[in-house]
Amino acid sequence: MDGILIENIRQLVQVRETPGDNPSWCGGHMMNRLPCIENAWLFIRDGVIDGFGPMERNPYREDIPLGTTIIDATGKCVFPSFCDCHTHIVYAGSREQEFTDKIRGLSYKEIAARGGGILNSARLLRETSEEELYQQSLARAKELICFGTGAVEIKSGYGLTVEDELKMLRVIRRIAQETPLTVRATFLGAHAVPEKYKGNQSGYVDLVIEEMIPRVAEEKLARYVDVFCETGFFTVKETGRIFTAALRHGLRPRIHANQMDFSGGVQVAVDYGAISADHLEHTGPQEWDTLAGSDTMPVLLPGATFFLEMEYARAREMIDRGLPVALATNYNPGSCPAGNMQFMMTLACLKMKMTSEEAINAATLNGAHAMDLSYSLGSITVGKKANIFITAPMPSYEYFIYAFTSPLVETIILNGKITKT
Amino acid sequence: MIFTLAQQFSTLLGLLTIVPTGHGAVCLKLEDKIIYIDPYSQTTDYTGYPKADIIFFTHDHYDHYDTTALKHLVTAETVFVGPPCMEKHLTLEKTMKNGDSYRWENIEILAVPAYNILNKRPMASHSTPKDTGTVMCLLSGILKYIFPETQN
Repeated sequence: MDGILIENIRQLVQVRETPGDNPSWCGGHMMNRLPCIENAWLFIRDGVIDGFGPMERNPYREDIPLGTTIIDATGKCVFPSFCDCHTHIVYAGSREQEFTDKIRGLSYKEIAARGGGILNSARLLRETSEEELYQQSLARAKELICFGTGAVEIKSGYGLTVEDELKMLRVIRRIAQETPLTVRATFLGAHAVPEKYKGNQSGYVDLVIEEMIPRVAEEKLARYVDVFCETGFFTVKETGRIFTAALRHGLRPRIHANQMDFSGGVQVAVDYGAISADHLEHTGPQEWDTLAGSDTMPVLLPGATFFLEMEYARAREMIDRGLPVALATNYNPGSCPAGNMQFMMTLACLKMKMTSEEAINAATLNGAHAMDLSYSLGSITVGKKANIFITAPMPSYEYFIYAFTSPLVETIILNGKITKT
Repeated sequence: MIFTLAQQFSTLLGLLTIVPTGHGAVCLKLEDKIIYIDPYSQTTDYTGYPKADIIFFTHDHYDHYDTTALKHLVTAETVFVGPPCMEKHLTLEKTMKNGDSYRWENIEILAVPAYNILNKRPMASHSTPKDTGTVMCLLSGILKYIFPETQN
């Protein structure tokens, strides 16, 4: 048994009632509501949030349980750890050469057509041992922890062969076992068509359906199946075939949709009950209405939009129509080599006109929902897992988004343990 | 050997053995009944201790309500008694507020407020009665007080 008492917290951010009493996500005008307690205490017991409240009603003021670690957070804020529900942090090497090509004026599609992009990562991954791939990915996982992230979704999708996809998923499993991060694994075999199958795309889809998905399900290596449903990648019809196979094996769909074009990805995601539809740069009222009548969480990835210098998703209009949105980093070697949720929230506010409150809700509670984790993560709630961070001294939670390159995450507590970084 | 002769007393209710188990925890054996108060695994290894007929909790801080200790002591028949703050953790046989009394197996139990004389925190000195509701046991006038969180 052990306990951590944090007291004199300037702002305890994102406090919600007991897990069963509040919705597991928030949408529309409710996203602008961010419940906080000023001058607060928080008690963690055996890895779980045990209690919190204003300092004047602190039952631990005099009677401190034996063996409690006391942290004085005077002037500091406490946030629930971020829930980054879309990443590709398991990859080999890096692709700064393509960054240079891009500066010279080549488009993402042109770089992909020249053998760059995802296929470049696939080639590098094939040549890298599983141990080396783990070590490289572990460094990124630790980077995420330092940025204040406590839960992360990680996709495969740079293997594109049965063995290499399984290799990636085993590395994801090892990150889950050996770091304090809460990890959700997604199989993304349908990320790109490998060179071997050029001109025979349906043959590759057959491989995904007939060999990859059954192996992934059998070895319990993933919880979700994702498809890059986009012009030039996988069609709506192929996506439907892959999702049917996924559901047959007990894996829930999620999707990369409408990043480059009005691809129809949103509609197929909702049809198959996807947990989330991600990207959504090219969406309008038709897609939003489809999402509004569904359980599918819209996930926006402004870091990739920034790095690719494209049009941002219309978050303001989506929220104003009553939709929820979640924010994620999309940390990957090609379109967003960055895993800092602080920066993603700044982009969301500046470029997509979200409020600070909406950005924090999107990065915590809604991100947790997009990984089926909001029953245990994403808010300061009694009974939820103690995944939190204490900031450096700062005047308010808005400052975290405003001072967007300041390292403000000071003390990290994951699973109720102070994490050494 | 958990129950030794030196810890035994004759009472009107029978032979009573008292085993202090550290911090606020006490184990009592009254004839064949086993009673625990605030069992705490950091101060006693409860492996080998007898299963509880009844467990009293004074409040729900983790050094008084300790699930690790309970794993060794609780059976399907064990009953729990504690103040209202314990209700969110366990199904209580009897919830006791300060001043309440309760009779279990001829034992009269009275709940009285607890307080700290010395503040455990540096730079603070005053003492206040607690509102956490501490349970005290009065065993038919024989054993006066069990006071896991009260200083004297």
